[in-house]
Amino acid sequence: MLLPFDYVRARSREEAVDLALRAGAGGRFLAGGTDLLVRIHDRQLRPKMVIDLKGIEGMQAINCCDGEGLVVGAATPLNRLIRDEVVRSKYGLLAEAAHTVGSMQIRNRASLGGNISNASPAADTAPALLLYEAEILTWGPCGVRKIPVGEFFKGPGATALGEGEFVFKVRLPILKERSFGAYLKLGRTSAVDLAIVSVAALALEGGEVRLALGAVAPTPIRVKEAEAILRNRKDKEAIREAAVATRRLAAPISDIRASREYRLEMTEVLTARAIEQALAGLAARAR
Amino acid sequence: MIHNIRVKVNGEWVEACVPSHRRLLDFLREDLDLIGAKEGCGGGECGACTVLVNGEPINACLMLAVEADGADVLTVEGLGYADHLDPVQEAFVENSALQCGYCIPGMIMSAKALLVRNPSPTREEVVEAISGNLCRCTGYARIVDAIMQAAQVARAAESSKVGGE
Repeated sequence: MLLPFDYVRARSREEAVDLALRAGAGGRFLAGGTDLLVRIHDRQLRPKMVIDLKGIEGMQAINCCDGEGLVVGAATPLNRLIRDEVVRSKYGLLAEAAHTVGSMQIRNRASLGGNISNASPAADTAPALLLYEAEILTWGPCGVRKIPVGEFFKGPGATALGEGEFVFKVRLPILKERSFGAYLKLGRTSAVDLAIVSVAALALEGGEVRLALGAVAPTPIRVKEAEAILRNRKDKEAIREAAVATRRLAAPISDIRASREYRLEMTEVLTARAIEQALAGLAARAR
Repeated sequence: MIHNIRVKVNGEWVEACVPSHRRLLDFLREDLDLIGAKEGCGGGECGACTVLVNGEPINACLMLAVEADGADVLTVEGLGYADHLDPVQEAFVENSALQCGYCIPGMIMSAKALLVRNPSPTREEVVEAISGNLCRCTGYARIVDAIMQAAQVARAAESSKVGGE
């Protein structure tokens, strides 16, 4: 049983914003509900009004490749993203990362927009979005804003979203080069748990290797200083150096899942592995 | 706030008035007396409340009844009857794939959704499909056996049907 609140299914972006502004602090946006309803159930949140965004046009659509890149409606369930052919072939790292969220049941409801709007440092889709240099399209009282994903996360549970503003689309720019990604998530169990450490690596045909981390800093982070080491060298020594540099850039906490020291150690180990897997995958693809 | 909803439950359209905060799970169990889906954790981790909405398994504890307006909901009660069980249910019985039984309605709905989507799953795919369903009794081995057998039985029935036509 949940404590009472009012539910409204917004029919347009404008209506959703109006409702949210009127509800003020008592309002909450709903997409898949797999975080929101858990928090209401656990009495961490007691909203007066829940505003469902799923009825807004385009909120659950996946569009690709008309010069814009991949555009994903923020309320699109993760399983739909994972099963999309274009996402699998061109943005495989995002599909792989989304696949590690929760369980089958959760992925049928949980959305891409919800995963980032909750701004967990461990959000599984965030490292992939950082590496594809995604743009977060929000809708709020002043209309559309386009926020680079690197500026979207502000801290644990905190985002660049203002009052009455919500994520309505996520855009991944076109990648002209062939690429291969690897997402390594260390959890206590292989499903349903949050990451203790997660590392994403994306190797591009032109020689660039991009690296991002989850669960080891107040927000998901991209580690460009470590990427620079791999710009011209990709031998074992360079990979080791990049892994060590990545460890230095991580700033994890100790919590119920793991200690700070263990997280640092595993950041280094998983970074080396993720780089190796991404490079090997790219090489196999090029053959 | 009260909402008038129309939901197709186990093949029949149901009209009902539900308050905003009523979960799909409570609507099924308390308003419709369909008590197959269970509340375990109430937080989307145990899968005891799994039902199919438009063919996809979801946690009924994490969906509002009002969100199911217009949807097609299948619970374990709609899958088979005592004298005419679904092949998945048959296989669970034959393999003794249960002990206390609390997780089984959810487990069976996850299995059913898997087999509809993928009639020839590997053991690994079965394990993945039920990774959101916790069982504290069986150790899962017999459950996986049962789902593999149900897949085989369904495939055999399908090919004999095709062969007979």
